[in-house]
Amino acid sequence: MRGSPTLIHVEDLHYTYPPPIPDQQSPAPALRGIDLDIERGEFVAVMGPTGAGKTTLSLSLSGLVPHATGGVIRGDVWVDGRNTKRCSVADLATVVGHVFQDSESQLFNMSVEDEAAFGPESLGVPADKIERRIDWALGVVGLEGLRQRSPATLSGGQQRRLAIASVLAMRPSVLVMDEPTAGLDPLGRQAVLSVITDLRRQGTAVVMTTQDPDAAAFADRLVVLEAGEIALAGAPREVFSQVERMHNFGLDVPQVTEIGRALGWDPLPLTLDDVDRRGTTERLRETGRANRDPKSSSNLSGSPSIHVDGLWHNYDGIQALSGVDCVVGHGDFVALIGANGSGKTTLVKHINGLLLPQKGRVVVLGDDTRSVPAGVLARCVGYVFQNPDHQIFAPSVREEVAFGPRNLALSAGDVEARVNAALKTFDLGDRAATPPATLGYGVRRLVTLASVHAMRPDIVVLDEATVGLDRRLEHRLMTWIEKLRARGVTVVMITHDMRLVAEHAERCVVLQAGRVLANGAPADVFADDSMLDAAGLAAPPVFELGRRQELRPNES
Amino acid sequence: MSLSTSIYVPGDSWLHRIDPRVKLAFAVGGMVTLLSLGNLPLFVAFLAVCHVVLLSAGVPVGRLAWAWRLMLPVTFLIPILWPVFSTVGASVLFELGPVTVTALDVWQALAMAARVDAMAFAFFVWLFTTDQTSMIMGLVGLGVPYQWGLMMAIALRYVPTLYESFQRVMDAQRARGLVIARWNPVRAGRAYVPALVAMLIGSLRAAERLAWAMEARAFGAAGRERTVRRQLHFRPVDGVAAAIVILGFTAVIVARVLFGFGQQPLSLF
Repeated sequence: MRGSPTLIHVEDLHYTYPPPIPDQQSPAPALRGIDLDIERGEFVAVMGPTGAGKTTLSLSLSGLVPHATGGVIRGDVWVDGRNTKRCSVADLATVVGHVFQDSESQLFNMSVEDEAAFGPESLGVPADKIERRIDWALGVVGLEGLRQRSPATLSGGQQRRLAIASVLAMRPSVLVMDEPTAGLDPLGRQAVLSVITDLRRQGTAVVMTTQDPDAAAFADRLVVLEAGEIALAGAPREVFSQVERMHNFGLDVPQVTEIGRALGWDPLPLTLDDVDRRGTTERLRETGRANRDPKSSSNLSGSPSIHVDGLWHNYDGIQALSGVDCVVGHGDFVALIGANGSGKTTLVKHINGLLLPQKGRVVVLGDDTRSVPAGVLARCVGYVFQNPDHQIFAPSVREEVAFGPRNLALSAGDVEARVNAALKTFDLGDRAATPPATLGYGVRRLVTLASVHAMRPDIVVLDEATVGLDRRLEHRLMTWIEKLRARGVTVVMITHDMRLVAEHAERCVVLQAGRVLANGAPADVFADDSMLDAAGLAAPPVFELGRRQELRPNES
Repeated sequence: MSLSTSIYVPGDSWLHRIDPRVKLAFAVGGMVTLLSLGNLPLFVAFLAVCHVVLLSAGVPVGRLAWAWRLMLPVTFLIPILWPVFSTVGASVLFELGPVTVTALDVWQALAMAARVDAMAFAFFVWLFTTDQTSMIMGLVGLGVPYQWGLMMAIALRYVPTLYESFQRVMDAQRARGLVIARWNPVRAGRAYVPALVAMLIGSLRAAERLAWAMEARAFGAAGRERTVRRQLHFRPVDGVAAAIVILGFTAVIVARVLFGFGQQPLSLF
C-alpha cells in the first residue's frame, strides 16, 4: 500500500476499552465497525456528540489504541502501509503526528524550544535542521517570543498551541488532531486552520476531531460519529445541509448555515463567502435587526457585586495583569474575552480569593478579598475550573458534590437534600457512587457544575466551561446559567465562543495583555473592528455577516 | 509565589553558559567537601558564595527565598533535635530531664543545619541555571546513558508539577468553601489527605500520560538514531572554572585530612 494515495485505511474497526475497575464488566464498545479511507493531502473532520468515539478513533490512528489503552480490538487500521497492531506507537509516530485532546499532559520538557525539538530529535533530524523546524513550528502557532519559557507557565490556550507546534515540527505525513481549536482564541483557531491548509497542499493527510462546525466547514470531508459508528459522511456542505439531523445528533451547524435556513435559502450557505456571493442585502437587513442584541443595556444600578480596582498580578516575573478596573453589577452576565494568555484566568481567580491582589483591590459582595479567606468567599462565589480534572478530587460523584455544602455549616439533612437536588438537576443520580475519574469528559464537566450548584452561590464564575462540550451539553450548561440568572445570580464567564457571548451575555469585558481594552454591550464591542484586531479577536459570524452587508448591528 | 514554574530559572548569564558538567562538579564536589567538614563559619561562607553566584546569574531574590522556605523544616528541626541525641562537650548550658545540653552541642547543631543548607544550595546552583537539555547533555558527557539522563531531567521537571497538583486540589477545596484551620492539626490533616491522595493518583496518571506523550513523539522508534539539537562546547573559560572548582575543593579536603582544617564547629583548626 506504500506509495498509494491512500494513507489511512480503517477496516471494520471495533474497539472496547478495558473496564475502568478491574474485574468489572467491560464498558459498551467505543467503536463499532468503522470503515474509513483517507488519501494524501485530504483533510477530514470528525464531529460527534460527547462519547461518540471521536477521541478513540484518533487514538487508534496513532496506535495508542490498543497499545497503550489495552482493551479488545477487532478489524484493522493501516497507516502508510503499516498495520497499527504490528507496529509500536513510537514507530508509528515517525509518520503519524498526534495532538492530544489534553495538551497539558502532552508537554513534558522544561522549555518551549526543547518541547518543539523533542520530536525531531527522536526522528534523528540533524541539529541545524531542527533549529529551522523549531522556528517554523513556533512561528506557525505564534509562540516565537516564548522559546525559553517553561511550558508549565503557559496559559491553557498557549499550551494547546505548543502541543500543536511540537507535533508539527516532526513534519508527519499524517496529522491527527483531537479538538485542536478547543480553547483557542479566534486568531489561534485561524492559524491552526491555515496551517492545515498548507500541510494538505504538501500532501499531508489531516484528521481533526472537533465540536466547532465553523472549523469543520474547512474540511474536504466531514464524518459524523454516533455511538461508535459513522452516522453521516460527505462534503461539509452536504452534511451541514441536513440541519435537523445534525441537531438531533446534538451537533451544531455553522451559524451562517443556520441563518440561511431561517431565511429559506437554497442551497444553504456554509461560509461567509457563500453569503457574499448571494448578495441578498435586502433579506439580510431583516436578520440583522432580528439578531440585534436585545440585552444591550446593562443594569449597573445599586452596589456592585464585584469591584476590581487597579489590579496587578505578576507570576514570578511574568506580568499577567497590569492595572485592571472593572465593575460587575448584581445579576449581571459578563463575558470575559481575550486572546490566549491575556490574563483572563488570573483575573477571575481574584474573584474568589484563590489569588490575592499584589497591587490594587478586589471587592466582592462588599468584602475586600484580602480580608476574607478564600474558603469563606467561596461560600458565595462558585467557581467552575477550566479543566474539570483540576476541580474533581473526591472518590465518588456524591462525595464530590457534597464537599461544598458540608463546608456551609448545614445540617446533615440539608446537605443531603442539596446534594440530591444537584444530582437531579444534572441527571447524575444513577452515577452517584461512581468514581468521577472513570466518567467521560462531558459527564465530568456536569459533576463540576453540580458541585457548584449545590453551594447555591450568589456569584458563579465559569472558566471556559463550554470547551469540549457538544451542542446538547452546552445547551444544558447555558440553560442552567439562565436559570441561575433568573434567581439573581451574577455570572462571569470566560469564553472564546463569540457566538455564546452574542447570544447570552449582557456585557463583555475584553482583556489584552493584562489590561481591559473594552467593556460594553456585545453589540458595541463586536462593532469595533480596530479594537477586536488589537485584542486578537473576531466578531461572531452573525456580526461579520452584518458587517459584510454594511449592516452594523449597532446601527438603527 | 506561584510554583507553576519549573526549578530552572531561564536566563543567559555567565553561570547559565558555564558547562553543565562544571556545575555538576561544583554540586557533587561541594557536597563531598561539606560532608568532610564540621565548621560553622565555613558553611556560612559557602552559603554566602552560593548566594553571590546565584544573584550574579540573575536568579531573582524571590527564588532564593523559595529555596529557603523549602529548607525551612530541616533548618529548624536539626538544631532542635541534635542536642537531644548528642552529649559532647563540657560546659553544660542546661539540663531538661534526661537531656543535657552543652554549648558545644548547640554550635554543632547549628553547624549541621548550615551544612545541609549549604549542600542544598550547591545543588541549587546547578538546578537553577541548567536547562533540561544542558542537564541531559552534561550527564551524557560524563558517561551516563542518554535514556537515564533524560529520565532524571524529566523527573526533576515533574517535581514542581507534583507540588502544583497538590496545590490545585487545595485550591479546588478552598473554591468550595474549605477554610483550613492551621491551628487545628487534625482538621488541617483531614484536608491534606484528599489532596495527597489526588496528587498520588494524579502522578500515576501523569506518568502514564508521559509515556504516551513520549512515544507519540517517536521516542524509542526502531531504526532511528536520536540526534541532539545542542552540543556542549567546553570553552577555555569552562576549563578555568573547572580548575577553580576542583583545585579549591581538593585543597580544602587535603587541609582537612593533613591539618584537621575545619573540623571543629567554631575554630578553623
